[in-house]
Amino acid sequence: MKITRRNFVKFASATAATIAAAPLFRGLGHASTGKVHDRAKQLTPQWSKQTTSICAFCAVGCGLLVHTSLETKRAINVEGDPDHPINEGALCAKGAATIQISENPNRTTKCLHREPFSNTFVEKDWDWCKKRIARLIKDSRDKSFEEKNAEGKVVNRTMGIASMGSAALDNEECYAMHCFMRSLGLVYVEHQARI
Amino acid sequence: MNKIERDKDLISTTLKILKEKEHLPKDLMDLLGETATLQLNSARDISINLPDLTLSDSGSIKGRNTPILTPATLPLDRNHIAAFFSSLIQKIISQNTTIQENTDQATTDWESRFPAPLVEAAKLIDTAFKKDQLDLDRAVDECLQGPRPILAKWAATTPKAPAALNFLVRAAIAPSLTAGVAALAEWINKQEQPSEQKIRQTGTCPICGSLPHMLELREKEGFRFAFCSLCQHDYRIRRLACPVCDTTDMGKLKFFTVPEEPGFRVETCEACKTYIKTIDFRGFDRRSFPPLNDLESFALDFIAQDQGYTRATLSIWGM
Repeated sequence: MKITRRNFVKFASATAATIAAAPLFRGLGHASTGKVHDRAKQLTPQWSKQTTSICAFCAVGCGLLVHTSLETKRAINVEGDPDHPINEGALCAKGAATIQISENPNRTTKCLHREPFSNTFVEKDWDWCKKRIARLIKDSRDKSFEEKNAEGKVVNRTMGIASMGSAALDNEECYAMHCFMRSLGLVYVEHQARI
Repeated sequence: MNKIERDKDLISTTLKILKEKEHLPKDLMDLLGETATLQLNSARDISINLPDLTLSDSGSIKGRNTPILTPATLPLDRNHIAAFFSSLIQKIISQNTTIQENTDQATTDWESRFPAPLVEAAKLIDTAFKKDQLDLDRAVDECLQGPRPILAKWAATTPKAPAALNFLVRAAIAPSLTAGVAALAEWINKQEQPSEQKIRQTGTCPICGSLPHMLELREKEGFRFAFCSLCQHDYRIRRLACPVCDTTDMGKLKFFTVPEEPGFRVETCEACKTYIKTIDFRGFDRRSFPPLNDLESFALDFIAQDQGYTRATLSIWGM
């Protein structure tokens, strides 16, 4: 077997581990460690693993450490990666809340609609919502569409609708959304992170 | 409050927390707590001659992964070690005498009693030391470098407390080592610009090259620090890497926590099948003191070993 530095360290650590396999905290004739062993038997370890990731909120690209439960396979904690050269473990308020993208019991999972002047939300399905949104966009666009400006130049724009992107959108989602908004003729296309 | 007073306060606070844990051996707790306090009190009397780390050495410090010294060349105050060794033995023997006297008066505070086999062993060692039958300098060298004929002989001589001499010698070396290593660490930091102080790319100590016995996550950012099992130097290492075999394969690095033992996690490595305990007090209003935190989280060692992992080092107390 070729002896590399890593192999050498592994052998050395195995030797060290064998030495340390001698009972820990014993050899002074002190009271029995039986109680500690009994207590250990009553405890259940909760296993997790850590994975590096990148924050998707903005273009800075802060490093994240995602802790995942090996039992549920769900994320249980997200924190900044202290070894990452960009953020060195620090995160902004949005990045620190990254876990809520996937784990948030308060997150709305159904579409809710409130009629104008109503004070209650009513559950609606996606088809109804999509048609309603499309209808409102179409009406606003038709009402405010300008083919030419005051100087007679062709502009094909609408000043009656604005778009504000979310910081939770990734680059690809932003690109698709941007293309769609421009195709409608929107001029006011903004992003929450710039405000 | 100066540093020594702060550290005494820290030991006292940690001991209070330990005493709330009924499953931990009280006699061991008292012994380690009082030894730690004695070590702290003796820190003022240490006189260390640092090794001559020339400019050529400082050049190699930058970006190196090899330690600057070896266990054999660590700076020690041998006079202080001998004095502390004697005073610790006297403390152990006299504590027991006091308790024995109290026993006659039926006012024994059993919770503060040191282990009786250790006291008996300490008496034997004390007698041998006073009669020059125990070469302390050689025992110190054995503790740091091995092999260990003197320690093995004394383990056989005191079978009820086989680790007695090892414990006493390790405890006597610790203050001197800590003082020397702190001065060396300060010297290294002065040689490097802050931007050059990189994260150590291997788990071993940059001063003496030994493996860490515990880790700690510090500050909100979760910087990962290791505590050397020999010289007690603390140094920053990579967050996602095994400190024993240096593997960075995330699939092989797992950790577990136990809700009943908050503030601690046990990190394991499938590559070398070792584990190491990590202190994580970031969510608590308390400071770490690894020599006692190791005992505080003792139950986690049993769990890790039951899961098939072994510990790469003994505790800082040499047992």
